[in-house]
Amino acid sequence: MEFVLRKFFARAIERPRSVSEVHAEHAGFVWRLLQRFGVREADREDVLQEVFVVVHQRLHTFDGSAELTTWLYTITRNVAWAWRRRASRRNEELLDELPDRDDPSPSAEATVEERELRRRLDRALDALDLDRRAVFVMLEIDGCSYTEVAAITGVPVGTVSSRLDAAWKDLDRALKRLDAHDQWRAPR
Amino acid sequence: MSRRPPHLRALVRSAAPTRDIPPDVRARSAKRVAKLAAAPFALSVWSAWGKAALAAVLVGAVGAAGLVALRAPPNPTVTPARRTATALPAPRPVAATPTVARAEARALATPPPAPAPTPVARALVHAPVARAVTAAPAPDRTAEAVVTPVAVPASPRAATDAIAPSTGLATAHPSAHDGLLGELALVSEAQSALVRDPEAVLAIAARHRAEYPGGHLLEESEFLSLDALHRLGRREAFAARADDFLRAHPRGPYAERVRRWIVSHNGD
Repeated sequence: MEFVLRKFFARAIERPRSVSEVHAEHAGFVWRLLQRFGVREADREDVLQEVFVVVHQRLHTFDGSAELTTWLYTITRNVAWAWRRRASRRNEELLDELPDRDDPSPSAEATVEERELRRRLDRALDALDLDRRAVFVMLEIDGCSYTEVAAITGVPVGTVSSRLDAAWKDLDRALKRLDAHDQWRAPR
Repeated sequence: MSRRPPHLRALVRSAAPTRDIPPDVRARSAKRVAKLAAAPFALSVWSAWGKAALAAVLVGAVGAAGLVALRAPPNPTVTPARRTATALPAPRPVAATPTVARAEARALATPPPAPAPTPVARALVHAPVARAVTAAPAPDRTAEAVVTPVAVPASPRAATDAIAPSTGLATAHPSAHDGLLGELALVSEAQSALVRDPEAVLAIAARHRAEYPGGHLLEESEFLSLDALHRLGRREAFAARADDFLRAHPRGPYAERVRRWIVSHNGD
């Protein structure tokens, strides 16, 4: 009986009190996730807002059984998925950029070749399933650890590893398809 | 990792890591979210438990009123508050919610026995009952109080006064209520401070330990302290206290969360 009541109490303790509290703590996290899901920079702020509207509506369902970041990951993925569907329905190019480098060589000075490489990568990443895309970007580009990615996505480390393998294969396939497409479209 | 094709590796190296949210975007977004939070959206922010409890309490109240109307002629001199008090100890046709109903029966019929077998049960159930009875008819407040004990006033004395200024229900066991409500107030205060000022949580928890040695909500308080240490990145202090916490409460509702934090620290 006591344990049941304590669990009941724990729900109240572990649940954030308001959407503002979640925003204050996790806006940056959601922002990065949106980049990992490939949400285009022009739309990112609006999509961020959409995420917090959903958080506001669903906060009462968060029961503390998972980390809040995992819960936010799921919401962000769903909102990003809806964005991707809307954008592709409008026939827009989903993403033509990854953020510019933070290292001393700014993008303005990047070589044409380097920019072309990044553009190809962006296009190939857009062909990936969202979960695989996020895992790929977190591990291979952001340099997160497997444990960190597992905690964010709420899946075991083994699943993270298999998603990464699948992402590499998908990426390879997507690039081959893009190359074939580009060659076909190239003037002969 | 080394099995990746070299041309793909080169491609991935050309990518730049994700960037943090720009301060202006964060500020704009925070403003919009604050408006969102301020908007009347009562039903959506209500806890599902609160809604279920309210529904149960309403069903119980309707059932009880119906039965009372059938079994006894209405007495026009009885005030609503007294009617609640006289109707409840009668054979209960419908239990509103098990915890609330049982606590109501216990509180209204006889004082609880001195050695309490479930202190947390008393902490969580007594205060809401007192509030529900004094604020009758407002059954939803019972549910709200059970689900969000954070609505307790800051000082133990003020809490007791605010809850039952005249019924004598809450003052039947003033020391117990003072203690439990005081603990609830401290836990609530710590929870409020968690995001904006984790250091303050540690201070509040220390005060909790000092003021209520052997208190009923020390587990909650210590859990919040661990959360604060986790947020502050004070790993050594966290690790030592987390071990003690898990030794003391290996199967508590917070144990799993604490274990996850330990794993995340070890994985970094």
